[in-house]
Amino acid sequence: LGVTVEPGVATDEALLGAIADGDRTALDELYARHAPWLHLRLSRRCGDATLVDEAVQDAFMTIWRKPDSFAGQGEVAAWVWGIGIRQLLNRMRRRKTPAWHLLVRSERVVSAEDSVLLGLEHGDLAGAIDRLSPELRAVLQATVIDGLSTREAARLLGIPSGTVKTRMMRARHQLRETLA
Amino acid sequence: MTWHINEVELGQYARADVTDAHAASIETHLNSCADCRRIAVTAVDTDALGRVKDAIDIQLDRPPVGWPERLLRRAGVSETDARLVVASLALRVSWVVASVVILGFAVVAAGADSERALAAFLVAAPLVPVLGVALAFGPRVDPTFELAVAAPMPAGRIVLVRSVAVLGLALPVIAIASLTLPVGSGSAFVWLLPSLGLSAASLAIGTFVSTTRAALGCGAVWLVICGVALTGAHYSTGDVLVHSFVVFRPAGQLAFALLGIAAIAVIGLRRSAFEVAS
Repeated sequence: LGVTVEPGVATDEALLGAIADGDRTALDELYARHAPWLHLRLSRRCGDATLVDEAVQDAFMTIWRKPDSFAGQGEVAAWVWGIGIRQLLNRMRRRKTPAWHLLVRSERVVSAEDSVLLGLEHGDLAGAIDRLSPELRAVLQATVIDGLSTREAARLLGIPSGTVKTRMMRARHQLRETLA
Repeated sequence: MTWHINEVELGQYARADVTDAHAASIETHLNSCADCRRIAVTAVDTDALGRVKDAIDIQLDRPPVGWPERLLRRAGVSETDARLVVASLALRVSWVVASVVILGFAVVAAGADSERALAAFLVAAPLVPVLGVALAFGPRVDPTFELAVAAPMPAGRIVLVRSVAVLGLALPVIAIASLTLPVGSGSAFVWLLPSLGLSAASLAIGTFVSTTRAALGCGAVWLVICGVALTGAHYSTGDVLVHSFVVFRPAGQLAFALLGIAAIAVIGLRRSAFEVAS
């Protein structure tokens, strides 16, 4: 078996290596690091808390079984998210949950302070994104932010693949016009 | 990167109280910033996380699932039933070995072109699943009987699942064996309806007496019928033998089909009796 990992010091990549050697403490450490934000982020995609719990469980079981599916490039967190969102999709398909609780946010008025913060981070882009209709924003989020394929995004939103493509095109068009 | 998320922001994110552009910004940032990921603990339901971790540990501590069980579960069988089927068959290794030996012997004998061996195979084939059913459940034959009775599952369901498992294993084996019989293709499967009829009848009678006794009784009746029929049979060729055997002629086959249907009806009506009859 490989070298024992010093929790708290080891990099995520080193933890994955130890998991490949069957080290349960490495999995514990990876869970402590990545389960909280994954749970938080998945909860924004699905209103059913049970499904989110199951998806997190499935995700870490998948990581335990196939830690070497991490290509060794990029962020481990981004890879964890890819596994998590797909496990959530699987769970939803099994339950035949019709559509997602997507974008549950209230119609919140952006305060002046927020606008400044957002302005610093995104420039006009933030405003442009928020001016998109909820349907277009959902497609943009599923494909660009969540990193899903057209088909996966279609399943996530409960709409046909063709609709995802046309909405994506319209969103891009509208963003280009607003930012121009 | 100098842009970071604070706990207040993350709380707003968790409550869906941020704009979508802001949420997207937070999510993208979480992918690349370990420090900001660390404060996610402050906004998340830690009880839920603990429960999920416990579930993962339990799953990892469980013994690995064998391939027959995985195959059954992939085919849509529930986790409990898959475990039950595999356990039932593992307990009955002796039955499986005995069945294969009996049938193998019959096939070898039949291959020697002896019509008497063919008759032996046709008589033996329906007995295999019936014996399997006899051993499926009961205080005397089942080492896990006490466990099964105490299991949080209706005893009737256990008997049925095990019987289906036995039939599912025995019938294909007999079917493959019967392809080697020296008879026409129409006659190779004449044992099938008697097998099903007798197995179902064993289970149906098993709601009145013990399943073991019922199956042994049905087997005995089958042997008597065969004995009577065989004394007047013509042994010139395999097909002639099969057709001179009343249970393998259409009327006999129909009778076994009807017996099976009637037995299934009785099982359906009296399945609660398994709880006490065994």
